[in-house]
Amino acid sequence: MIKYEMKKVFQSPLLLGLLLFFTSINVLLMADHIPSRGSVNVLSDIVGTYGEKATEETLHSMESDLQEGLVWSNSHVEGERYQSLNEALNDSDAPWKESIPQKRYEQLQILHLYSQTGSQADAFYRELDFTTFSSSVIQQHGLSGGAADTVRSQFKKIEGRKQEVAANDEHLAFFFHGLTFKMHTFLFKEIGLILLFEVMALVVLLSAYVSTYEFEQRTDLVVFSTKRGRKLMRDKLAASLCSAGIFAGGLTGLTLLVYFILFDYSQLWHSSFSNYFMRETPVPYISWWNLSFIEYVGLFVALVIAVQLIFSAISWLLSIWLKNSYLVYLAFAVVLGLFLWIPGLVPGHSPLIFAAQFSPFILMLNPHAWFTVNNPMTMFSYYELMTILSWGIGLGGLSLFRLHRFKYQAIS
Amino acid sequence: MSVFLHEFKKLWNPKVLLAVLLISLFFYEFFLSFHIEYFPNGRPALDMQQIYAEMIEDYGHEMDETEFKDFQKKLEAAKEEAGVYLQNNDTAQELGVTSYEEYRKLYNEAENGIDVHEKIDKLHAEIMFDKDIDVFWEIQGFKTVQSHYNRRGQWNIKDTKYSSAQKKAEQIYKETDLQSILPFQIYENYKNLIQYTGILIVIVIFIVIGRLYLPDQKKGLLQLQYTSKMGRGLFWSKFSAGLMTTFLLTTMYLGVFFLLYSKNDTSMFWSSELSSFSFGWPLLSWYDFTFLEYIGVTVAIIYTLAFCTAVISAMISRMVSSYMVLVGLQIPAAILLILLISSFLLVYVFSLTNALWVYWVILVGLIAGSGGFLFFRSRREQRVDIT
Repeated sequence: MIKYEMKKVFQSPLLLGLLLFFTSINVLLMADHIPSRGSVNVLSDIVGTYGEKATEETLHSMESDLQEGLVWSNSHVEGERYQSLNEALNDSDAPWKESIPQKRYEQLQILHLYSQTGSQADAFYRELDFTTFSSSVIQQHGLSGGAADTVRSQFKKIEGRKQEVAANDEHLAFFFHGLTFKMHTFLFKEIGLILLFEVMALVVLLSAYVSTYEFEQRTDLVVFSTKRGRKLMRDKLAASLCSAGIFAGGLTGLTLLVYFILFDYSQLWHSSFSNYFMRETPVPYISWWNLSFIEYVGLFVALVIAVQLIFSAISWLLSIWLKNSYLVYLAFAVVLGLFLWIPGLVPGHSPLIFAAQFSPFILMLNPHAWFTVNNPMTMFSYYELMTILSWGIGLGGLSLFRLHRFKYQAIS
Repeated sequence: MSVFLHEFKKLWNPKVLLAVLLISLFFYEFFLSFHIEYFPNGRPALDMQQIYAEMIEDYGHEMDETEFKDFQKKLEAAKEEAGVYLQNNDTAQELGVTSYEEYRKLYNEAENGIDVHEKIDKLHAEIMFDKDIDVFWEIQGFKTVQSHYNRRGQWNIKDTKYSSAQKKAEQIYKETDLQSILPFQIYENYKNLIQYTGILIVIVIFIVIGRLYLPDQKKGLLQLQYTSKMGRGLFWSKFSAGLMTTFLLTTMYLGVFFLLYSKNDTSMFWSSELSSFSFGWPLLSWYDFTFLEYIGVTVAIIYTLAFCTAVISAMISRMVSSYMVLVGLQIPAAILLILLISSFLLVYVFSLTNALWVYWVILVGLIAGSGGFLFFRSRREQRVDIT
């Protein structure tokens, strides 16, 4: 029976059309970054030549190549006047820039950028002390009492994790230079956030469609009075969840496919996620576990799907209650607004302020900080898992209860 | 007429209206409340607001060069007052600072790390943040206004792409000398508010008018209605009920919006021209509007948008046969409209940012597009099969 329910979704030209519409919006978003593609993609040559981590050895061999570059750029000016490559690259009206191929110049510039950044990494992590951040976070969010204690103890844990990162050399893995290219924000915040809202629209549409189908086609009186009848709602839940998962995976997959074709990550799949190069703010991104980039992307996709399954289940619950898909769409919008609004009401002195963050709607707003220590309000190592599990179990229980009730409900 | 009233009543469904009301409240909370509750946002924005208000009182809606001299006198008076404060301050005395100019000079020039730097930094923090001394903030406000006035018309336009806009900007400068007193922060604040208000109204109209035709069709009422004496004229009865609803909803939302906006207290600037010295050149307008006329233009655009949205939503509602398809088509339509609103129609509309024809092409295109949609569907409606 689940098969027939899912057929309703996959035979709808509208849903497939929307899938393509959203994909094309995401591709248009990527067009913004196409001009910087050339300099972004240089990194894979660097990783190919020098290796995956900016260890002392690597930096040393980079340095000697840069020296070559210095000699080479000095040969293009009078009197070999550059003392360092830095000076040569910053010399804005140097005559040699016009006489050399643009590509060679860019490569030199970028190699210099990565070598400089790499040589700062160790010192940066030595000086970085997460425990000093707690007071500013507490002040910024107006916390006190138990909530403030939570922040302090969490920052201690984060400090421990930072030391582990430095000990594992995770921070030395090469990645696109964050301060210059902002590739993490671009992929996970700009595209990721829009992607999540697009998938949410699709998932709510299809779940409510499947679940209210009998009521809206006015076949409910026939279907639900048969022997098999009432169990159909269970199949509809399963069909909603399956199709929601497929659509979520489909749109995410299509978007990421285009993204990774446009931007060359081929050498970076196994780079550690918690590296220094990716840093875009004073605080570098650090994941709670030692993850490679590809593992992070995998977890990201899994979480996108998991969040959408929760939205699907919420839509199903609203459907069995309201029995009209238009009302379900409106009710879902109200639920969304409500759960985004509530966390702002919790006073700053109680640890409840953190409890309010454990909702899929809040989770959805910060995809760039998933699995990392970087969002002060959600800096718990199992925040994502706990949110999904608690809501999953809660909704599961509620669904069973509703199914049981539905069995004995009057149908007209 | 009674059919019209019945159709009208059906649109004002309490469940849907409750949902629309809640959605509007959340929308206000997330996108609009900030620009009303925190305006002007902090200092010296607050001081500038007062300075501008005073300017309007003293000079009218324009400030010419002689009035500007008087304005500079006020700045000097404020500086003297600050000097008196500094002469009575122990830390300032220790540093040998007796006037505002000396204080600024030391603050800007003292090198990092030395003892004097630390002290002047501490004094600065004390004056500006701990004690929040008004006159120092006022001076900052005065100086910002002064530098805007002094630098008016001195644009560095390099982009040749907008050559017609550039010519227009220079023409405005020559004709008006950019003496109008209209603070950028007020223009910007109104832009933020009206943009989100417009988006909210479009969303609300989509939701309410989406139910114009579809529910009857789903109940199988169409077969009865279209074979009755009134017949296919019902299409127009429903449609006019939809338009009436659109008009009422838009008016209600705009009414509430302007009630809330009155808290920002900007009425003294209503008669100022948009050719203000505190705007950058791309914000100057193709037409010489006053601020009130500009507000009128945005209101007219919102009504236009609301009616176009209503027509699009109504036509979708007539053509589809399930709510999923209805909403599935409304979503891309809404995305396109919202993009138009937030890039052209309610963000500095008719400003030199875009060529003049861009605004008119979009507006005329919208009206013609939705009008055409209505025309073809209503023609088809005469012959369409109803089973």
